Amino acid sequence: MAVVRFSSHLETRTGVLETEVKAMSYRDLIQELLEKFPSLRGSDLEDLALALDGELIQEPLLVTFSSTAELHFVPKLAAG
Amino acid sequence: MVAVTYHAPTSVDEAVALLASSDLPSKVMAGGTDLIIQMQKLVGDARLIVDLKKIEGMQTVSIDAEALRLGPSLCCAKLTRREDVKALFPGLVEAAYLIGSSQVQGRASVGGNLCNASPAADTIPALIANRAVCHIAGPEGERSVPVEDFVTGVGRNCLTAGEILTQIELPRPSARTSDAYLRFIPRTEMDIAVASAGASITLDDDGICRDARLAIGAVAPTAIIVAAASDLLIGNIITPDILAAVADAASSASQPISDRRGTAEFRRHVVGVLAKRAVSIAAERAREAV
Amino acid sequence: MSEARQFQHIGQRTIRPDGFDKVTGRANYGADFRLPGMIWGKILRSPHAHAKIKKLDVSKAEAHPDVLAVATHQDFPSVNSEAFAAGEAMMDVLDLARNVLADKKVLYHGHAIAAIAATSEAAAAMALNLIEVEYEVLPPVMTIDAALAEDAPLLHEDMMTQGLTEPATTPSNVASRMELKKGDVASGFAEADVIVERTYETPTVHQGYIEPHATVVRYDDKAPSLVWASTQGHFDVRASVSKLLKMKLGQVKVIASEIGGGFGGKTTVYLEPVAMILSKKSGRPVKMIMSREEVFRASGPASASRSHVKIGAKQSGEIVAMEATLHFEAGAFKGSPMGPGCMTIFTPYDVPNLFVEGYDVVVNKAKVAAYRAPGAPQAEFAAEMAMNELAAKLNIDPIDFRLLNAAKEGTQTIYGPKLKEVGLVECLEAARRSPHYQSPVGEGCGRGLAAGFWFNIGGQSSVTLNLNPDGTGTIIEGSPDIGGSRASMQMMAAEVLGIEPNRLNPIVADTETLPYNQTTGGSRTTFATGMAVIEAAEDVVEQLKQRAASLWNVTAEQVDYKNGVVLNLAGDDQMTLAQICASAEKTGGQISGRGNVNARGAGPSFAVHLCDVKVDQETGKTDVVRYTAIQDAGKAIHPSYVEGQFQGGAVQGIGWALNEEYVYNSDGIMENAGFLDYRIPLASDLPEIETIIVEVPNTFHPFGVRGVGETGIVPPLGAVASAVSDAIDRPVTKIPCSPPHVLSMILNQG
Repeated sequence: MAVVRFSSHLETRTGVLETEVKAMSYRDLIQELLEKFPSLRGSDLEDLALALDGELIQEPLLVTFSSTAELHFVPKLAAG
Repeated sequence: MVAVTYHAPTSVDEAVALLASSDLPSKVMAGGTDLIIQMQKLVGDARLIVDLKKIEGMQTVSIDAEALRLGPSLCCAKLTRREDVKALFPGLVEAAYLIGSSQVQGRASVGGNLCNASPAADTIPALIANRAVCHIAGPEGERSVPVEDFVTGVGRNCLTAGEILTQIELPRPSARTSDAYLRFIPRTEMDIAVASAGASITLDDDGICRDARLAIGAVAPTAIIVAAASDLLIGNIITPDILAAVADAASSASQPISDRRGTAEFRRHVVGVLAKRAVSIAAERAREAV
Repeated sequence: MSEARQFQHIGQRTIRPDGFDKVTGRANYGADFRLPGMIWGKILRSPHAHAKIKKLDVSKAEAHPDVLAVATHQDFPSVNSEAFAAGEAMMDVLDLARNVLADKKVLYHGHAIAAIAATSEAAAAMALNLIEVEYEVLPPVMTIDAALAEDAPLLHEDMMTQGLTEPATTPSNVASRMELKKGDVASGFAEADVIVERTYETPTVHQGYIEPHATVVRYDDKAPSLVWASTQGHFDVRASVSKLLKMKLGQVKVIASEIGGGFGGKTTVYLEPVAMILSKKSGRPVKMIMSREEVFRASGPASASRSHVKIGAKQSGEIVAMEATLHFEAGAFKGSPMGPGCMTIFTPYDVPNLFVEGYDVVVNKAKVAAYRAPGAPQAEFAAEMAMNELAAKLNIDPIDFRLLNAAKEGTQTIYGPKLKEVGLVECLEAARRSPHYQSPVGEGCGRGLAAGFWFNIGGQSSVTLNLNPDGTGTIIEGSPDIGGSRASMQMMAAEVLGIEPNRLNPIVADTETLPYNQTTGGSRTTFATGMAVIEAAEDVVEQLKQRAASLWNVTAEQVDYKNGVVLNLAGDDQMTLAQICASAEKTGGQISGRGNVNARGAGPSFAVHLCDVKVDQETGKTDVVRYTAIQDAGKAIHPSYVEGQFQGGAVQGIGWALNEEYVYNSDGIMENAGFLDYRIPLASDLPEIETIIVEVPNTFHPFGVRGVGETGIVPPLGAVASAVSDAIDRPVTKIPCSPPHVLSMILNQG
């Protein structure tokens, strides 16, 4: 199963820093997490970028991944 | 911005007459590097600008057995290129070389720097150290004042209505005499002095100081003469201890303020450092001056 | 990547296509544009740092015969608080509206209150005096401490701190809090033999671009309105203008002028929406130009910061825990780069236990804008200073200390992902081998070094590559060229097509010519727009092969493309790119390639800088006597412009470390709003900045590119300040190391 790691900010909603998921696509991932952690809101996740095995993806909607993937929700970046 | 009436007279009399009879507030212009910037901030009534550069003698420099006679409007770029001036007054040339950028020095003049009367003006301490005299013409005739009496306050000078500065005269230095000017800025150029010091030193053949004059700038409303420094130096070999005392004397004489360019505390300290270094450089040059 | 790939054009130092126009003055910058019937706009700015607007009466100005329009905040259609992406950073549209024209309250000295369009620039300036404003002056909140004080005056009476575990119940000047952690710092510090703990401060600074903001706007209700602007991202100018004025994107056409520097400061809008209102009301094109003073007072400073850092290590040099609390000033509206500050501060190091918290604090200063690696220089300055002090306490060489703890492939970052291949170790080793580090430290000098990290971003870029019948062509891109990127685009396309780069002319097209392109920022252009160029060029190659195949009556699989020539694998025929273009009309019309990407996999760039300074112990004046910038570029497309980015970042960072700072008086008014007293370094202040390009390819880019534009400004603050510390033998905790500051440290006996 893919591993999702949360920031300490998201941890305030999930209660854990890490969880395993069955999902293998971004859409399924969001659904699975919202079901698993009722105090998590969609907006908590949708404003965030996704890091998939270290690759930063600003717009992850169509992303799919394997069962060995490591996933992180990351703030979208400002830059100069 | 304001409307401007511009005249460029070709004689001193004409310039004096224009200024004395003007109904408009008037300004005298040499290079204009300070004036034009000041004008951009003005609002209200029109101004009369009298440009002095076309008057004979305003842009010349000559040296004879008695003195260097400097046309006040001569641009710094031309002055600093004169090897004969540099040989006699390296400190004055250093001061002129520090004003603005190369481009600005193509316009800026020693006379303008003096009349603008900024507390941080680079040439003023160097002129004071060299006992310069200002020759003035006006509706009442001509007069001369020592340069240290010319500037009377921040942005103020002793010229009265209709008067113009016609010549700056520096007595020719005696043997074993030279000068130096140093200023402190946080960068290397294109800046305004946070503190400055100009010194002229005369030595005898034994290396004993026979004359000394130190002026400091940017640490009071006008550049000031540090008389105590002369007392410390004259009659003595210039030792590190004496230089340290000169530094203390300069710091004590200063009356700096705190502003965006530096704190009072910093200026007081640094003007002492500059004073001793300027004295030391002038003495070194004097040793080599014939 | 196993072996270094051989390139034909990449890595050469070609002549930049925009160079001649720029050095001869032919290039058109923001202020160079004019339109028939054009009038001039000027802005009335607040004389107070913090005040309520009791009355704003523009009637006398409106009645003046030279005045054709007056704009105030009331002219914006009502907008609600809503986050939207403008120039990379998320921006609240309501804050943006209140920043470009104040509503009810002025929040900094220089805050725009109203604008006038008149028949001449002078008339507009004079008419500003006819606007009547009454203020209720409030005490200005000018520092982090003042903003956090129990009884601090509030800038925004409804602002509740976001990101707290328990939702805030009373308003404050703290916009948000952020927290990141990894492991357990308490147990980490328990294992430490040596701990360094200090608080570091950095001042408000400006990006200092040479070209002031400028725009010309022509409103039109029958065709798209025209905006000419000096910007890093014209598509995001379009987004901001349309959002603020409720116009459709298709109703606004933005043309990017040549840009005289931005550094992040031109990723937002100030004048363009105001000029649009003035143009709409007057029916005339309106030109607006900021003075240098306006640029300083009312545009893009970078956050002042205070960072408390604690780092613990074992005697062996192994770091066991790092902890930081960051406070960043946002200026008048929320949104400092505190977030990236938290995310970058400790990323150069692979440490098991990390904790960072950050606070975004509003103060009565202009709203901050991005500035090259926004947030990272301030935060990493604190970490690098503490790292050097810790290395000294452990008696370990600072490079060895960093190598012992360096982040590398697989390092778990505090902000989320594990790092892929990165080049910090390679940079540290290159620094150690460098002639600079191998040389002895000069008499009376000090040496400092610091590492730096920045993420870099990818994002959306669109490119069209058109070929002409003679085989020349045009690369149409949408990324304003602020660092020589046209040359890089030319080289990347030429590499794919196997032709000389100068056969392709790169142009930066307007918002009607291409789909949306993200702003030039985040060091993304050579990476992401480069990927779009490569995609477009590959598209062209496919078309060339098809065209040749159809001429030879073979299939596309039976032809190959190499060095600008299509080869018929089924026979001896070959055709050059130019020959295929010449016969394009016979094979289906002209040839044009497209690349549309939302680029992922931007590779972080690490850097290490070395600095030697000489300090005048009697005046506190610091001269940089030697400086070397070492940075991972992945692959340097055009080495000269990569070196230029390293040098530019280093120089801006040196200025930040030595003399640059906003000086405010007790009324909250900036006293040094000009280049005379806001002291950026001059050429004569600096030695040649030596550069070493390290190349650890980014596997996500076809040529291995990492962005290089931002990381270079991260290390200098720590490198310079550490060198000063070394020279005066006292720990520096606050920049700038201006002469008064350094002298007071020297005189105060440590």
